[in-house]
Amino acid sequence: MMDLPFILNFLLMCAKAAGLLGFVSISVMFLIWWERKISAHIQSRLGPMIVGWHGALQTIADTLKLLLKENIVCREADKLTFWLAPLVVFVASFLPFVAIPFSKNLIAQDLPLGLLYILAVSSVGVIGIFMAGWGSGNKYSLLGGMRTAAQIISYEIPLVLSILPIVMMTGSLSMNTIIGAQKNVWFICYQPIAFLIYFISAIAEVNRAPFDIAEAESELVAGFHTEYSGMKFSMFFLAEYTNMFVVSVIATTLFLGGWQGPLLPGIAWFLLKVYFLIFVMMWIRWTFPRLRVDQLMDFAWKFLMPLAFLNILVTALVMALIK
Amino acid sequence: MKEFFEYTASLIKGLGVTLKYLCRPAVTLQYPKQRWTPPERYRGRVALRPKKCISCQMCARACPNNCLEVKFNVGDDKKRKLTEFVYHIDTCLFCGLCAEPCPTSAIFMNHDYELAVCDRKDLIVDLVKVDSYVE
Repeated sequence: MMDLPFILNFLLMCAKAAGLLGFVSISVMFLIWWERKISAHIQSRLGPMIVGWHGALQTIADTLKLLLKENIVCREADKLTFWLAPLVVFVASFLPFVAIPFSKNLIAQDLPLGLLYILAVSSVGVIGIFMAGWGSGNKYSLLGGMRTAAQIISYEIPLVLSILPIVMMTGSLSMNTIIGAQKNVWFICYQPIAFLIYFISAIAEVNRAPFDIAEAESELVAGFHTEYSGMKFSMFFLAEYTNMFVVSVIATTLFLGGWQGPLLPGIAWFLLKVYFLIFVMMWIRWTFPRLRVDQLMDFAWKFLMPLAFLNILVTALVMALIK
Repeated sequence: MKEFFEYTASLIKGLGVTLKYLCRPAVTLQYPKQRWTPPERYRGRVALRPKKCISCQMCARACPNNCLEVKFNVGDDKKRKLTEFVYHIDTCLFCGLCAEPCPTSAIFMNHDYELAVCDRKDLIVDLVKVDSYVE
């Protein structure tokens, strides 16, 4: 690729980005519809039914509505921060797609430090959320932003610690190498506890129930996006579902064997596993009530983190014994 | 430690409950397209079989809200002949007490539950004129 002239390289990059952006938009539209359907059926309702087959085009109609809405900026808002926040949140959730291995060769750029890159860029999103909370000039938004910052920084630690045993076992941070190491046995069989810790922390990372104290409706109106409307609000929405996709991708890659599977092509297996994990997240959201702030912090620092350390220790001991 | 296992078990139990509901059919009716069939003894609007009515006024007397007015002429044979049967749907409480004492079963509660109108005047109807004979 290095031999290509700069302009061709640039065009190729743009094409990849456009393709990924298209995939993200369609995937998010599908996920929003799916979540509404799942939540409805869990509550014995039908959910959207009017627009398209079983309401399948409902999200497109909603997107059009959001595009046409008035752009409201409140008087007390810190204008620049307020404007930039949704962009920061969305860009941070979109960047990891560069290193996501959809199939053996279907990967925008197989970075040697892919996993580190994904973790690094996706955690930038918290800055955007805090910017939104601060920039709105509203106490509910600020509280929501503060809570998110505290929560995401706390859960980042068990999240990374639960990934560490996998990296120790494979000795690599490249997504495709990790998938290749699971040719015979998925890592979830070796590391079930790490998978559980990862999955719980991941749900907290994407601010979803039961860890959605950042936008706790009953306490904070809508948390950090209280003052947002129209396209800026939909950016946050887009980012939330994109983030769900990204954390499920990491779980699939690290624990469920990525795109590997019999019969079906790689991308089908990959998307099946990812969407199954997203389904579990939705299922959890519509089952459990929200945790209190102190319970949330206790759970991360006093339970998940020691457990993750213990898991690393046991993995290291077993690895040393086997050698 | 015992608590921990209890809590974990209850979390899984909760997930089981929601999964069960996820697989069950929804109870929602898509209202204008799908209609509900009321049970046999459902009390909708009051309706009248004008030919059966003997204008005894038992129904009007039984009504707790006085929403029925029975108007009649007395003929040469001293028999009462029904001319008007005014029903105020706006004050009716759908208790069915009017239908109970009727000696000829002329008055009854039908299954009509879509009672919204655009004008309040439309809620006062003459059951003799109106085609109210909807079973």
